[in-house]
Amino acid sequence: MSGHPDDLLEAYAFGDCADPSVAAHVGSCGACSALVSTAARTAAWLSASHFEAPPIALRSRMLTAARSARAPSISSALDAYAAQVASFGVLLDGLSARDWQAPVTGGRTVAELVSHLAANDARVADDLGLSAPPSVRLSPSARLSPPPGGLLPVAGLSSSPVAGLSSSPVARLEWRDRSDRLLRTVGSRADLLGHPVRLAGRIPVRRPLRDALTQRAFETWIHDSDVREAIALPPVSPPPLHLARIVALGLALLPGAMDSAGRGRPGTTVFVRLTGPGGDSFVVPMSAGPASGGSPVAEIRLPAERFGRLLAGRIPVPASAAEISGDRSAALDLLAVAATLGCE
Amino acid sequence: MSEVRSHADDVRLRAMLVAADEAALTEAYDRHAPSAYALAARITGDPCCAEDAVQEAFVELWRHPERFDPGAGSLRTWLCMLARRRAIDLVRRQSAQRTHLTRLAGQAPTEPTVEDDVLGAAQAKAVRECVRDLPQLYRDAIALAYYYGLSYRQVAVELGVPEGTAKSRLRGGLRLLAERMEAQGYSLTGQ
Repeated sequence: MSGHPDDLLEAYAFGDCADPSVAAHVGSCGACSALVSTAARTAAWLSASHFEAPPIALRSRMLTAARSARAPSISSALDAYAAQVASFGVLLDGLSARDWQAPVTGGRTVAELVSHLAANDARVADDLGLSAPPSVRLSPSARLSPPPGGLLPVAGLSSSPVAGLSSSPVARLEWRDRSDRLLRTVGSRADLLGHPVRLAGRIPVRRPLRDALTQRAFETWIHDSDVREAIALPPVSPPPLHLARIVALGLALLPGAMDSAGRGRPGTTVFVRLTGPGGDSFVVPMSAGPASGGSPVAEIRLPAERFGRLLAGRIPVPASAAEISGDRSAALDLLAVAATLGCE
Repeated sequence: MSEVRSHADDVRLRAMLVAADEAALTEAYDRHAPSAYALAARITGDPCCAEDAVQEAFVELWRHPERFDPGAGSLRTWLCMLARRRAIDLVRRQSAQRTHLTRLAGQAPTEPTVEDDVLGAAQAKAVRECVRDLPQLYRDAIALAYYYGLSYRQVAVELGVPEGTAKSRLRGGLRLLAERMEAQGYSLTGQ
């Protein structure tokens, strides 16, 4: 086996060897890759072959050490986005090579949609003045190497239903890099939450970072639904608390959007009653101009989840099945503008 | 816990950890510390060293959660790998390599004291039985390589056998163990 790093293969498989030349060889040698795969699988089983409760005091000692190594987040502003990142990550891990090329709404493929999402995530980080981490500048082949001390992208793990990230499109790796960057930065910098950044979408708007994070959760949810639709999986709604934040942001953006669309009606309000999980009632001004204090001219009633999809342009106004009473023209104007608040 | 749910939990915990959500660290600890601690205790034979190894593994996860790739293996496997490496480092600092065989001889398989999920418990039991059924020569080679981090050349020196013999025992044992687990329908993601 001259030329093979024969004596290092078990160390590599067990995570003890971060020598990049070994990683490169294993990645290109079928025989060594098979040996490493077997050893890594066996190591994984051996590692969890026993359970023993550690002393109770270790838990608090570990937490104290962890806090001194990295401060925990003190804000809940990331909750909705982190939840959507997790949901989308699970979905992407399960995609086949064919799924990645499936067409989604807007004429894109799934891979192109994920790249688009990664770009919008990156834009928020860029507005915060964060530079891209080195990993996103690596070539695709370099990205496949295990990080120092990292678990291995072992070929044999492809028999697992969730394995195979190493063969994922670059878009998957880009999106994870971008979302990681945003999560990590904001998790440690609550002071940035009031920092104005650009929102994604057709109309240029700058809002505090905390709103941009809600919009990132919104867009990630919507594209999660797009991918699910493309591969014939049922959609999944955000948790009610997160959905409530998303629709509240959409409604907060509406007065300015009405003016930008030339449909502003200063001094006029509409009562919007969002029903079901994440629902609430809102009095929405139809212009960012001065309020009159008068009664709403119309009432719109529809499920919060449906309103969220309408905001993303995924449900046309006529199909939204919104119940309208009062000034129908005003209500339809509001819904028409609401349907332009997606992140495309 | 199903494999799909386990994977989803790992991905969720990773995102929360990247966001510095301490609740994710405590959840990961409560789920996986018993596996990591049992492994570290087997390697070090010393409760204090095992505690240090487990603490360092979880602090490492907290510092660099991005390095955990749920697509390549489970969070439990990842944490055990970190704890194993720390434990081996501690043993190497504290004792001479010559104690290996003594340690192995006295290292009777321990029974679990905590098994917090049904699938994990069943799988752990299956692993223990598969290991128990391996020929002793294979078991020794695997133990030296896995629990002490020795290469097959170092295993050969420890066992006083030719390198080729050590290699074939080690790799034959690893292959047999993998084949027997897979023959019983186990895959890696449920760990």
